[in-house]
Amino acid sequence: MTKVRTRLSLPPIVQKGEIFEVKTLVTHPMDNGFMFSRDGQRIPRHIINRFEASFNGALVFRADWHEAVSPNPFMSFHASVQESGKFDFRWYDDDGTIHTASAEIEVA
Amino acid sequence: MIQDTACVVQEVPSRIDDRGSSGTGKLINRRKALLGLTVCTGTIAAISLGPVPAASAVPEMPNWLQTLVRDRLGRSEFVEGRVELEMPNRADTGLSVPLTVSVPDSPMTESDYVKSLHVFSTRNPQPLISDYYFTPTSGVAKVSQRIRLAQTQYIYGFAIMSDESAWMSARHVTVTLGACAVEIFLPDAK
Repeated sequence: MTKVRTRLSLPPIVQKGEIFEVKTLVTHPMDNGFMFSRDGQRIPRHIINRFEASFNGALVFRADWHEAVSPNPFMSFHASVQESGKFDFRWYDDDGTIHTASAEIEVA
Repeated sequence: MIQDTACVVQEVPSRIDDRGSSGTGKLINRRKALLGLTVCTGTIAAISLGPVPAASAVPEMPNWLQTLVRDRLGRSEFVEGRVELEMPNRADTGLSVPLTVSVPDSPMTESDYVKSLHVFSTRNPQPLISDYYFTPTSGVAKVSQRIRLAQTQYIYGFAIMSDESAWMSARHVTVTLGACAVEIFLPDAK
């Protein structure tokens, strides 16, 4: 399996209470279990089934993904913070691994 | 009615079969054919000019979806509105269709926020698409994602609010090439 890479896009500095968009992307095949390989074998399901975003340890947003999510899943959501801190993102893989990424954000 | 019309048209004898019959018979047959054609065109026109449901109207959910939603969300009563599903009306490929779900009029405060949004498909092999859970820190309940669609279908979005009220909305998406048919374009596909 190729190494999972994550990409994040969120503003480094925000106003207090400002609503901003957080864009995340993770490279993942998201095999939905309905596809067949070229030699006729069913490709087993292997997806990321949960995404979590927390700020300074408190959960901000969670998403449960199912088979319909496209490969290299992109997820965008919104958040507003009152203080500077760190965003932690966690992607829960079907094979049990948890892919993580984090980003610092500063309140002006 | 379409069925009847089709039968009338099929009754028209071909030129070769007509050769032995009398002129009168021929005339009647031709009349029949013309009548058939007229009825046929009329029916088509009637269908195409028929009442078109408003784009915002939520179509009746299939029974299995009602059961599924009740089992997963724990409720079966939903009010139409508030949930906004933004998707292209027509998707060239079902492999990656942009989806934006939002409840724009929710203030997202501690006392009144969107607890969760749920998106269901009606014609995918697996009807679940995604579930999103929010907190007041989210600021606005709006998420974007890219999803796979197997074929042309209705997409249903459900919202559960912090005051336990439940809302829903639906959207039709025409998919030109379903996600499950894309493998035919692989160069060495069997």
